[in-house]
Amino acid sequence: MPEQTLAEAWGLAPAVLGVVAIGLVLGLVVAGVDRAVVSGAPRTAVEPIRSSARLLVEQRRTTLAPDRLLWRLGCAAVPALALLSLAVVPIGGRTLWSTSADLVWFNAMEALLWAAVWLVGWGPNAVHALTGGYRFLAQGLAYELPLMFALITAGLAAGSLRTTDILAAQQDLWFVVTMPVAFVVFVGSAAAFAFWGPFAAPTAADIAGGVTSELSGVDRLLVEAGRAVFLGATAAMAAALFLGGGSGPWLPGPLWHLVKTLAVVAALVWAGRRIPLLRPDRTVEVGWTVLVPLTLLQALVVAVLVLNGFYA
Amino acid sequence: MVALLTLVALVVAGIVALYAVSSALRSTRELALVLPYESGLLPQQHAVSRYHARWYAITVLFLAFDMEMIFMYPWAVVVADMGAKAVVEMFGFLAVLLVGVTYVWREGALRWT
Amino acid sequence: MDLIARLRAWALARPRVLLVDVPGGVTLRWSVEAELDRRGWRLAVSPADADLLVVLGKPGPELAAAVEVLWSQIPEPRYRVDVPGEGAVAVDLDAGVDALARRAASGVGGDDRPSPASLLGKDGDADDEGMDHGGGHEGMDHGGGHEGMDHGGGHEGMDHGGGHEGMDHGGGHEGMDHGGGHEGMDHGGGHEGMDHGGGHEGHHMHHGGEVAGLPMASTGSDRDGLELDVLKVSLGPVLPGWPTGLVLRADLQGDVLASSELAWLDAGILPAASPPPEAQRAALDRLARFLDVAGWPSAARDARRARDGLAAHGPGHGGAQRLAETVARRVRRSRTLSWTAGGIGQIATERGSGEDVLARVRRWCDIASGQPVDDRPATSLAEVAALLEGAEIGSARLIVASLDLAPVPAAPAPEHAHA
Repeated sequence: MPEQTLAEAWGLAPAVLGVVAIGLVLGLVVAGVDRAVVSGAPRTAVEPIRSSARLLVEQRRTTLAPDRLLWRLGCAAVPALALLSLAVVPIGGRTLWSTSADLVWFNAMEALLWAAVWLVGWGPNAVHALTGGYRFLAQGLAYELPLMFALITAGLAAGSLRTTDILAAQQDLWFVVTMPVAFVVFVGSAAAFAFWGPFAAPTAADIAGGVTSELSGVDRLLVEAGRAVFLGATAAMAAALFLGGGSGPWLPGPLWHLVKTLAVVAALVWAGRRIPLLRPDRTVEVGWTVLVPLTLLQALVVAVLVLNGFYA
Repeated sequence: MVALLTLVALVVAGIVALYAVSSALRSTRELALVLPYESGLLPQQHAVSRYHARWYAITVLFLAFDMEMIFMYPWAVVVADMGAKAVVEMFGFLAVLLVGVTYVWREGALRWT
Repeated sequence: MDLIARLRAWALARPRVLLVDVPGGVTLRWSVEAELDRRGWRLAVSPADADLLVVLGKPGPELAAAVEVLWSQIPEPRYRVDVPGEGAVAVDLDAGVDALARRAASGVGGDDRPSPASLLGKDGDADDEGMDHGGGHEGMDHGGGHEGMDHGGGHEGMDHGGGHEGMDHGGGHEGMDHGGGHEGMDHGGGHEGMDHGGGHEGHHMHHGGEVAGLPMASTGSDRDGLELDVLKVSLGPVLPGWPTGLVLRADLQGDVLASSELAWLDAGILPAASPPPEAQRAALDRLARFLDVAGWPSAARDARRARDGLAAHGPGHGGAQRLAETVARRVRRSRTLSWTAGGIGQIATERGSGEDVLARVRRWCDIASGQPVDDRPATSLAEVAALLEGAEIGSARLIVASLDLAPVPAAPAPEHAHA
């Protein structure tokens, strides 16, 4: 193994603490940019900090006859999964954990989110929350396969599921050039599994906040933070898988990766807030009849390029 | 692996710490026991019911593709070594599944409202 | 200790507001929403999300009961602000945020919160007991809490003291005592619901008893002929983007509504329809509320700001007019909206083809950008209920949000007068 993991390079404790800190900062950045875009006033970008403090001083709630264990487990799982997905996201060109199946790990963390969000909706024994939980599952049926095909396309071109190998394979040409569809689908799916923006149907106002409708205090903070961290982590992953990670002239690698991540966040928030909510019952049809064939076609194109030695 | 386990431990510790901080900061540690929100009216029944997920047909279709992903991950790694045969076989298999999608779509199962 | 107090005050300086606008006072809501936007306070979408409960105007007894339920669902620190009129909106909100910080510091627990059992009227004792109990709590909560906390000086006389207690609780209690426990109030409504549930269960012979004071859902066959759970739900009276005071009672099968019934709370004593304010601003307001429901916050924000800006005369007016035209054009041209909200809620007209949610919203866009548009006949609640039959809950919300539903006094005379 020529590559070092983050833990070997920085030492175990700094590496682990660094990953968590970077995840939280990314989440805060996402929440701040989102807040500024929604309110139309850039100075409100710091409001997420105040909102977090507000939730910390707020009383927690419990409803009549809830499924308390599963409810709290779901709340805690949302941020936990988001931070764990960062284990395979490269930071300074290295990942905290490097295996031959990094992409599968990232995918698995996101897939477990199905259970977590559904539990948050199931737990409080409330009709709006329950409806939101099921909306998330329906939405999952729409985005999950295109997301997996987008992930696999990057792995296919690099001939490896290891994030650092995928980074190395983009030294000459960023993957976004040959797989634009996969890139767009991956970033769009990030919004969908973080149930944010046009994909916020599970927490929509029409069902009074859906899965979050009965959450207050630190329980709500966990779910909201988890969503933001997931978006930030996925933006960083998108920059690594499709935009060449740290490659670029003049600036040091990590800074390039940061700039690209921020660019992905800005583009996602800007585009996502320009359109209304997409109802899951209509998105599913598009997911299956448009996105699945399109991402498969993208994978086929990349597979043919691989056969021709394009990426070698 | 050690790094990952440390990360898991830190995340769990962080969440526990957040609960502790919150319990020190908030004015009351007591949980508010409330009725579920039903727009200001009283709930008439328990909401946790057997929910009719009318998209259940799609979940079966989804499972077929999900199984297919198990093959596709290792396949992605060996395409370059195996050559055209691997690509033809995988996309032949996917084509069969897509016929299924077309059928389900024509039956109208992808839209349920 | 001081540090914690300051942190709490800072954290609560921009509280989330659960707005309850009593039907009839639309301009009051506009001015409060404008003030909240100016302060950067966001609206809560559920009681769990709220810090301040802001009640605009004088709720009738049934709506007042709903407000009590909402109040019981808001986590601490919480505070209730009653805004009787447009005069002192800013003062009332300032008082609210101050009281919130004091409430956070005072360490008030949930002891003044009525238990779910007492709200459901299942206190274990006779029903009368439960009612008295609930009443006692309410009185204590608001009378005591309010006065003790913020009305130290002259403020009291001005808005809360008299107005609040006199109207809200005085009236409420009376309704409860004399209504015989079935008609008017909080508990009346609850009991009715319960009896209903019980009857249903008996009919199907399915579930035995109650859990924690509530029956389980009963079963019924859905539109595919499957025997599945049917959940009795109500949407409204207080829901984001929903006409406050309107109640939809329906059976929910999965996410599909069946046997919908619509009614206004306090239908007997609703105020006569107030003269419609400027058509353009009203259309912008309706558009904003629809966009809230359709999940388009940035467009809803622009529509509200245009609505508020049009009130001003002078240099701001032109900018507001441009903003109104921009947001109307954006909504009208949105392909995403036409894809996600198109084809639902079609009302048949004389000319045959139905007008759907999208067509209605586009008509508002025309009015919102200042074009004259001829009036459409009002839609009756029975017609709306028919539209909602079999609709998915999200579509149902879009349908209701796309209609201009305002309470009409029970007698048909004013409707004729209007037409």
